[in-house]
Amino acid sequence: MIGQQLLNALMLGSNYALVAIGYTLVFGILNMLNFAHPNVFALGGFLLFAGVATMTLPFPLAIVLVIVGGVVLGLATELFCFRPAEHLHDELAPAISSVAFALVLTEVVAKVWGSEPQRLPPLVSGASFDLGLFQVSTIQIVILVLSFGLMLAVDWMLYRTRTGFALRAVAERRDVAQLLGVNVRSTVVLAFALSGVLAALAGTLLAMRLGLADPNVALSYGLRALAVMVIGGLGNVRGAMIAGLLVGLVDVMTLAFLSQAYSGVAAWVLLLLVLLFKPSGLLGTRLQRETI
Amino acid sequence: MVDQSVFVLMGINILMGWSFYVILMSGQFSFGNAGFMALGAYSAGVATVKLGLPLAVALLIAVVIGAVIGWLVGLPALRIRGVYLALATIAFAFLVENLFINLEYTGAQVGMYGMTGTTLPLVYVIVVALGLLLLRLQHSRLARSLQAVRENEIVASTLGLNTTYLKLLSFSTGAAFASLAGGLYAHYIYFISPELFGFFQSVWPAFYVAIGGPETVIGPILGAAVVTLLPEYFQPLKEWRLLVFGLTVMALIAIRPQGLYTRKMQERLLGGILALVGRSRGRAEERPLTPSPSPTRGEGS
Repeated sequence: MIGQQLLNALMLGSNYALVAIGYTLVFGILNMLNFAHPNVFALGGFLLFAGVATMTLPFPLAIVLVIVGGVVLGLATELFCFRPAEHLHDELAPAISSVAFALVLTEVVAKVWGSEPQRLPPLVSGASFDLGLFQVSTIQIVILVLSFGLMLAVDWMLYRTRTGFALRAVAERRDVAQLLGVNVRSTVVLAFALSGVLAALAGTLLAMRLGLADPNVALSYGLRALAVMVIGGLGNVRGAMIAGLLVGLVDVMTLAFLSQAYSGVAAWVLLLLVLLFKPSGLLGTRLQRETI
Repeated sequence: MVDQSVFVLMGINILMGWSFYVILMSGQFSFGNAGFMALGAYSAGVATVKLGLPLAVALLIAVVIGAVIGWLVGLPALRIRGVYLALATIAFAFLVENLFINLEYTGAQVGMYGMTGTTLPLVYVIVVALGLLLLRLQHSRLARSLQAVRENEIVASTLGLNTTYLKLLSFSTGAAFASLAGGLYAHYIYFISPELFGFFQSVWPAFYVAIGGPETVIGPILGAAVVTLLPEYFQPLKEWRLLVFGLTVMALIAIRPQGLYTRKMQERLLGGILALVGRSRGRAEERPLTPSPSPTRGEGS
């Protein structure tokens, strides 16, 4: 029983982490909240649904569709919500514009797929394995491998590639990065594209876990990942992973041992505690210490 | 064509817009005003329905509760600011929503009903009174101190301003505005439940301020009017109206990210009016027209 819960926590936590990394990429660079992010996340599940159910594509092709969709939505967010107000250095206008974009995406999902969750066809056939402590099905293994693979890939990209250096440099000191020859404009665009892909893929992975594409995950899981971002420490991908797993664990445990009514509160309580007692986040970075 | 209820809601939305605006005056963002709105709605509702108090007393209770809880919640503002405070307020609103979902006394998930008494004149008497108060304060020492805190907190504190007190004051005043709006709202729609005060209810006030313009008292009024009335005029679009509404808001912000109504516009407008008044007065007294310096020029900076 406990083992099964731990497995659930691992899957939920890695999902939170992926969405939180998407937030942190944009927030780290622009210091602005992107409220369209949770809706791109929700849309990821529906893109998978469109791929495998409507177009009956094989699973890998459907993932390609999700990735393309994520890139397009990320770029659209940058272009329509964040670029027009860039010269004002105002945090409010782009945040609100991204909420309006979130509204548009919600409506698009409602128009195309309706406001009810859509059941996915079975994606991966295969037996469940009994590992003594818990049972794990093939699809759960696929989800876990994809989630952790994706996280490691992002981590590798950020810390081991030139693009990653550029992203981190712009996040650290935009003007200095520019002086050192980093193309700030294309780095910002890249951050949005990457963040969109991560959100869409996280949405896909959640849909795979739940077996359905649900429009309501935007306001529940999607927003909670915002708390995960700060709990982990802003601009810190590894922190986001740890915080994601922590919140996932607390979430699953509240659901298992307390009541349904308190589910989802854990992330917000943890956020308040972190802000009060360790405002730089669990793995605090210089960035968060300075801006707080 | 547009129902009277839309104008009542517009008045309540103006109050919500101001609740965001007042907090923004000291440079803080609150995306949790639905939490204060819920507290106001429920406390006023309990006062009238369960305790049988008159509406005026209930609204007063809502204001006091909003201000006190706002002060308490604002205390962490000593430690955190900017987006982090915004996130803390989101957390606060979720916790309040969850509190009312679990609170049996106010009907838990189902909610409570029986609140009546809010009328169009009542809402607008309050809106006009508070609007005049805010306008009166616009060029006061207090407003300028808040502006100093917003522009540069370190400089403000070296000028001898108590920045902590100023931030708490603006936060708790904003909370009181939201709480009052909640009290009025509850007594207009008769039936309240926790889901009315979800995340989007917190974000709408920010919409009004961002669209109308964050610099003036008038801005949030314009924003609230646009956001409340647009979906009504989009009625013929049927089920597409929210989509079109979202796109319209994006377009509005893309075209005018500084908001529809800015401080610069206000100064030019006031300057024009004062110049006109001055000129006509001059003519009435049959004095020769002399080019006098605009009376507002020195005032706005």
